[in-house]
Amino acid sequence: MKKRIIDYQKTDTMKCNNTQINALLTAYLDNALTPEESKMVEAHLNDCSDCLDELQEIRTLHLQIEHTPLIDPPTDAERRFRQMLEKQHKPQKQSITITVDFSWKKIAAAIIIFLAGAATVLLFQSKTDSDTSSIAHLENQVSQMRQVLMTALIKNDSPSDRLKAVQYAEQISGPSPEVTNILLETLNHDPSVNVRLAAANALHQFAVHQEVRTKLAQSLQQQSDPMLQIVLIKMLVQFHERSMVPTLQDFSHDEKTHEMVKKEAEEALTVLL
Amino acid sequence: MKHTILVIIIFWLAWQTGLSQNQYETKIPNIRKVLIEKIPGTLLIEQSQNNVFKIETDKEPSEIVEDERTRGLKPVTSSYDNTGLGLSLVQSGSNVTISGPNQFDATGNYTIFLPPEVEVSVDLTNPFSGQLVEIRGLKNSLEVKTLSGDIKFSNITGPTVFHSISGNIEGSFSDLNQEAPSSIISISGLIDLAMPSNTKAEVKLMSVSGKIYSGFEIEKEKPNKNKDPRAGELAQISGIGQKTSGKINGGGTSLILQSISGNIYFRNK
Amino acid sequence: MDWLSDEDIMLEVKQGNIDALSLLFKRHHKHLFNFFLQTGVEYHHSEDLTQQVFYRILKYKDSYREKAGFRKWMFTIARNIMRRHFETRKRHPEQELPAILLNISERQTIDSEEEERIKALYKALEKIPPQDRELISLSRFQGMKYEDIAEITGTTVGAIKVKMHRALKKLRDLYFEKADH
Repeated sequence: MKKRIIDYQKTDTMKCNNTQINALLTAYLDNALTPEESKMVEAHLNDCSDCLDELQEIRTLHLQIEHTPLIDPPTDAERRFRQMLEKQHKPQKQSITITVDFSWKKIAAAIIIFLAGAATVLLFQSKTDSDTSSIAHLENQVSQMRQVLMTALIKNDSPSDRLKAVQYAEQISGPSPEVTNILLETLNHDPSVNVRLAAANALHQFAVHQEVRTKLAQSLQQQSDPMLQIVLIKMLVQFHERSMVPTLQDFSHDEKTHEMVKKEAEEALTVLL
Repeated sequence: MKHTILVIIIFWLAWQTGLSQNQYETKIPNIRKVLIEKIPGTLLIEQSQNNVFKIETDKEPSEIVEDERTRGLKPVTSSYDNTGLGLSLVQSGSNVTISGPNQFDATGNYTIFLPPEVEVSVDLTNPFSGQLVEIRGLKNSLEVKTLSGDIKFSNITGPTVFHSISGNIEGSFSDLNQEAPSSIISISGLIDLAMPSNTKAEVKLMSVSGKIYSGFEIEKEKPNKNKDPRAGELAQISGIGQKTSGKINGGGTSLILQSISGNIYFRNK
Repeated sequence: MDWLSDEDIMLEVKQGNIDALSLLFKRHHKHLFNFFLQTGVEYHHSEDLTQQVFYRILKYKDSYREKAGFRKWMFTIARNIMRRHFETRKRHPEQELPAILLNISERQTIDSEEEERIKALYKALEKIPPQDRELISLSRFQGMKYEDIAEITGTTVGAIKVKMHRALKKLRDLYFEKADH
């Protein structure tokens, strides 16, 4: 083996001038040339002994490399890989998947269709018997409809739906004690502060009534959210509602009261007393 | 055929390496609302594909605290881990509640993927809750409550009902749902909200001691005619706190942004 | 299991059966390890980098494109990891090859003539520029096709044909000269 190598070395001067073809020799041996290129190389090899020799040398080297065994990785390589894989199993995002079945949508759709139906009936009624009656009557019908929707929505589980109900209440012209009561109920008991606050704002227009103001002052006593406390205080101060004075005094003495609420209460007290 | 063989090999491999069961599927019928509370870590909520609802965590099972004495027993009083992820999942009627343990442990990162139709309610007002909730790309109706945790969101549509005591509320809408009002309240945190410039809404912005900035042109309301018959022709006394209200782009659904001491940034994009 | 192509297995891994990756590890880790050694990475680091390649394959399994050659992808990752390794360690790959390549008799019983030959080969490899080592390792030791090497190294097949020839010529000149001594 060694001898042959030396032989090639000695005989090989490698003086071929056709560098372009020469550069393709390795690829030729690797069958990586296009048919045209291969033909060119073959034609050249017919009359260039230099390149033929070089080709032989390349082949020898390739064989040498082929017979060179690869180095074995450390024996624990596979164990380490398995450990890595195992780790990937665990922290790599454990998850749970739940397939949701949406048959409730049908129920929701049914409710909407029912409400829409009820609305058209109401509107239709108002149209037929309002040939002679005034637009005020029609408005009244719309208000009635809003009230129906409002009383239905306010019981809804979704806070956005309840916000919508409060919005309807605001738009009802000539609100009934029933609407006012629902809003007060919402103000005191709704689980969402956002909805309670919307109810407080909606009640603003009814605060001209003494009984509503009394209820608002009572409500202030039980509200824990600073935002609601401030809104109610501001509202009641406008109407000079003195029944809230004890509550305001409590606020100003209680250490747990929000700083801004305390300030608001103290200012209100100076006005009210 | 090739595939079948491959599957068999995979099973064999899985069995060989003692693959733990950390991915499983459950079917829950009739979910209308998902309630999420007491998540022991940060919470990311994203839209899922194909009505599937998925929870992921990077928390290692070994990190999920377990009391040796309780082995084999199921807690009667509080929630227990029935998902293997340190969370309990309980269905009651059409509601599903996902809840973490009553432990001070907020080291994990949880991602919950939800289908578009369910209502989402996140309640992180429990002191055991993590400090951050982020919502990305959800078209669902959203309710989020936190104490000091920040609420971050992007590409949502609402309707939203957000409330935080001292956390910042910031993010962007891709569109504003006109079906129901949206309300965002932070007591002492800031509110920074971006909406498409063509958003139609009836806005109410209020901050008691903070400043309000708006990129939108707000058409001021005409003095409100009092609807109370008893008030008659009396003008309504308007204004509670520093308040700006009016229509943007001709008006639409109601959008309320309120804060006591935080600034409000209402951006158009 | 040999009838399963690398690509089939990788698709299975991509779909979440990450245990299937151990089949690919068995098939290719030795080649990867030797690629790192031959490009001048020390013994223990070569082992680390090999693990890193598989870790990265797992981490980015979702980015594996269907029908894309697995070995091509694997060596692209390996090459990036290797470059990063040299960058962070500020060690030039021009430096000598790891000693293990030359200490053949320590690893296996081998006749002295064969040992000489292999030593000569690696010593020659040590003396050529790192880019050439890389090409020779990929093509001759790991058996990658010209098209794949062109993609891995971000060049054309035409350019690879010529570069490969030149690289091997440098190796030949050194090797046969060495053998002559």
